[in-house]
Parts: sequence; structure tokens; C-alpha cells
Amino acid sequence: MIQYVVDGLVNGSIIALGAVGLSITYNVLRFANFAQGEILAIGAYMSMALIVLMGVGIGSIGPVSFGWPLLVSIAFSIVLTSVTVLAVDWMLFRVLRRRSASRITFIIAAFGLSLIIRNVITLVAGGDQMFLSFYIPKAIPVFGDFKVVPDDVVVLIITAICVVALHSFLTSTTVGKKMRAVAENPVLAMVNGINVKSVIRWSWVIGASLSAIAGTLHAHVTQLDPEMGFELILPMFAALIVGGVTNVYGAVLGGFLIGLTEAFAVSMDLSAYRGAIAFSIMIVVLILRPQGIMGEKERDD
Amino acid sequence: MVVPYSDISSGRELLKVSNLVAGYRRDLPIVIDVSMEVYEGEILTLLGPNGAGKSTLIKGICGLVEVMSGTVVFRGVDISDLETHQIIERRVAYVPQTQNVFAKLSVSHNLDLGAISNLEAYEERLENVYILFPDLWKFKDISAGKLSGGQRQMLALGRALMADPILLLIDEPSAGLSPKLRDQVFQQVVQIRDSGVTVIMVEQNARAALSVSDRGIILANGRLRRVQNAKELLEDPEIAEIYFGPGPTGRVS
Repeated sequence: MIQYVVDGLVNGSIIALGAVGLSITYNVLRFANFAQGEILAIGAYMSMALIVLMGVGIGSIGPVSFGWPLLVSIAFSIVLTSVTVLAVDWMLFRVLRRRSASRITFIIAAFGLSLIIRNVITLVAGGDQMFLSFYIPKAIPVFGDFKVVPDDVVVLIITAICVVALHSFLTSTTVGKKMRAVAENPVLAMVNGINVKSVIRWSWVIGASLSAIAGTLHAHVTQLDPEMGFELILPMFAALIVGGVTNVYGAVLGGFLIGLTEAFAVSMDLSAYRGAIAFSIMIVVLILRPQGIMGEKERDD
Repeated sequence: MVVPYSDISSGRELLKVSNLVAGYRRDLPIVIDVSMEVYEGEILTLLGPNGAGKSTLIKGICGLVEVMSGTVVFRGVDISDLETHQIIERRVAYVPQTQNVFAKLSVSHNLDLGAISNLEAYEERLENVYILFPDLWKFKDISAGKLSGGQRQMLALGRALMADPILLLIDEPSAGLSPKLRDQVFQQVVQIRDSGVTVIMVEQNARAALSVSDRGIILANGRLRRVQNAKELLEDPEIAEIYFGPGPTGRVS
């Protein structure tokens, strides 16, 4: 049982970090980014490319089956994924913003973008599954009968660091404060002298960085394939809705809840239905608390 | 056309708008060929019926709507092509009519955000805002969304003052306020002017607004119709008939 909980938390970590990106785009740029899953895929493939280029495998530290090479590749992936996302924003979403396109146009454009990215990945890396390493998870006893897979613990630690870093970024830095101001009221943010264009660029970078980390961790604990973004997007949206779209921490909570629910489904031998069960949770939350667990009701003042 | 400024204004030109055409859509200009001067230390009120382009004119000055042609020269520099944040950095402040506070954030956090682009002498300014609006000090830790309409208007003004503006643009400060609160807000606008800030405000309450203003401008259908001393406008029977409604205490549309 404990292993299912750990699996749920690990899977939840990846969904949570991805959902944070979704939440930031939703709150700052005001559209549902259907290409968010593909941003995780870009992050994973960038890491894969660097691992291949370095040619030293992913290393290892003690009982953990990855080491500095993977961490270095994540760092590079953060930079490359951010640059890619900024370029895409410049080519696509910036143009739509300048034309004051409707929200639905943004969503359709994002959906189209996701198809393009998925096919570019297939074109460049091929449609087959790829693996960062020949990692086989092996649980080691911690005390008594309690065993954990060391890599899972490291994934959870990395996620915790990301969430703490995100929190201090949003609350303590000037850019973070500006980002929250833009999220609440873009016009008022502008008349406070905030450069909204710069805040938008920062939002993409934060979202892309977390996605690069999440995508690479997902690739490490499972595998890479061009469809990975498509498979992750629905649980990420479910997480965002369960946690509350207006609250970035809600996305984290929602991610873990969806991850745990899916793991629970697997433990009941219902793994084929795990998506359906996650969505049932979402429907229940929508009925009981439409704004999500940590969300706030939309004001219209 | 321009009538001599009142005794309070110094007579030095702070802002000069020339042949301004502005609006939300290129094919639908709302402000048409407006030229006007604003003098240092005055309160200038923009009047006119709904849809006359009053709000769009002040939004054009601070870059919130597209300027299609014409110039806006502030302290000798053409600001009509600048982005809003660049205009704000030049110490122009703008108070929107609605959604003019960050409802989820506390009062003090709202004021902090007002100073985010200009942190110089922050403490001193914060103190001055709390002196001008004692209610804000009382409620500094509660979220702005919980304030009453009048308090919210004070926070919106206080937030704008935190950027230490030279020119303050206010969109309908009295909207939705009782006559008593309206007069209080207007008195605070006078105090702000007396502290050395030039004020342009858009108003529907023509009589009450003109009684605290130095000059008034009347717009209709996006065009400038009258520029006059506030006192003269108040005494003009034609203006009284259109904008003040019947009787000495008559309210405007």
C-alpha cells in the first residue's frame, strides 16, 4: 500500500509542477494553455538530447540511480525550454495579444501549437519510446518492513524545493509581486508602472522552468515518447480545476490529489480506469466547490 | 479660446495635447481632434454626456488606449508613443473608475504596489498618504475588497499618490458615492492639488466638481466644445440647463 502512496506522490509531483505552469499562464495571460503538456515534453527531450550529447549516462549518487549528469541536463533543459517557449510566444501569442484576439482564439492556437510540437518531436526524435537510462526502480528498506525507492524520495525533494522556491519568488521578489498584480488586474498593474510585457516573459520562463524539471523527472521515472504531453495534459487540467484555477498553490495540491487518486485506482486493479477516476474526483469537486479547493470565487466589482 | 487660468494655478504649461485622435479601435476613434493645455497646480475637470470621450481622453494621455494621431507633450516630451509603464515612470498617475484597487491584497500591500516603480522616499510618502486618508491607516491590514465604496476610492487615490505624481488623472472619483462622501473626496482632491500635484478629473457631478475646480472642459461626441474658468461655467445659464438639471441642488444625469 505504502508503495502506491509513494507512486501517487511521485506522479502527483510531476502533475503538480506542470499544473503550476498551467495556472501561471491562465492567471497572467488569461487563457487555458493546451500546449502545456508539450512544454513538459520539450523539457524532457531537451534533457534527453543533452544526456546523449554528454555520453556519460545519468550518473548515480549513492543509492540514487541518477547523479550530476542528469542535474546538469535539467539545468540546460530549463534554459533551452525557456528560450523555446519565449520564441513561441513571440511568434504566436504576442501576435494574438497585439490583435486583442479573443480567449477562444488563444485556446485554439495553443491546441494547434501542441499538435505542431508533438509532430516536430516525432520528426526529430522519432516516434519510438526513449529512455534516459536503463533504470530499474529498486526499493531499499529504511526501517523494518518500510521500503522506498531512493529515486522517488529525490523526486519528492526536488518538487518540494521547487514549490518553496516558487513561493519565495512570488512573495519576496519584485518580479513575483508584479506578477501577482498583473494576475489580479492587468490595467491597474499597468497604471502602477508595471511593465506587463516583461511580466509576461517572466511568467513563461517560470512555467517553462518548472515544466522542464517535471518533464525530465517524468522521463526518468517512466520514459519519453512524443505523446507524453498529450497524456499529461488532462491530469494537469484536472489538478488545476480541483485545486482552484485562481490559486497557484491550489495547482500543487490538485496535482498531488490527482496523482494519489490515480495510484489508488492502480492499487484497486483499475489502472485502465485511472483517468476516469481522476475525472470523477474533478466532477465531485466542481459540484461541491466550483471554484476549486483553494480557489476564490470570481468577483465582479 | 483658452480662458486665463485661475489665481491658484501658476500659469506654467505642464501638459499640451494637440489634435489628439484616440480610441480602442483604429476604425472607431472616440476622441477626435482634441487640443488642450493643462497648467501646473490646477484642477481641470472634464465634463460631458456619457460617451463624450472624457475617460478615453485621459486614458489616451496615459497610454491605455491607442493614440492614432496628434501629440501629448508632458513637460516638454512627447509621450504619445510611450507605453503606459513608461508614462507612469515620468510621474503621471491614473486612477481608474472601477476595479481601481487590488481587491485580494491588503490596503498596505496596495499602497506598496503604488510605489513599485519609484521607491525613493517611500516611507515619507506612505506617511503622507496615511495623514491624508486616516481611514487607510485604520484598515491597513484588511483586504481592499472589504472596504466600503468611499474607502476604496481613498485607497485608489492613495495608491496613485504613492508613485509621487506630478500629474494625477482621476476617472470619476465620485461615481457611486453619497453626496457627503462625494464632497469629502473632492476636498481630498483639493488637498492633493494644494500639495503641488496637478489634477485632471473626469466627472458626471458637474456642479460639485466645478465648485472645486480651477477650469472645466466640456466634450461632446469626442470633440472639445468649451474650455473655461470653472466659475464662469458654473454661472453660465446654458451650461446650467444642460448639465446641472433643474434647481440649485439639481443633480446631473
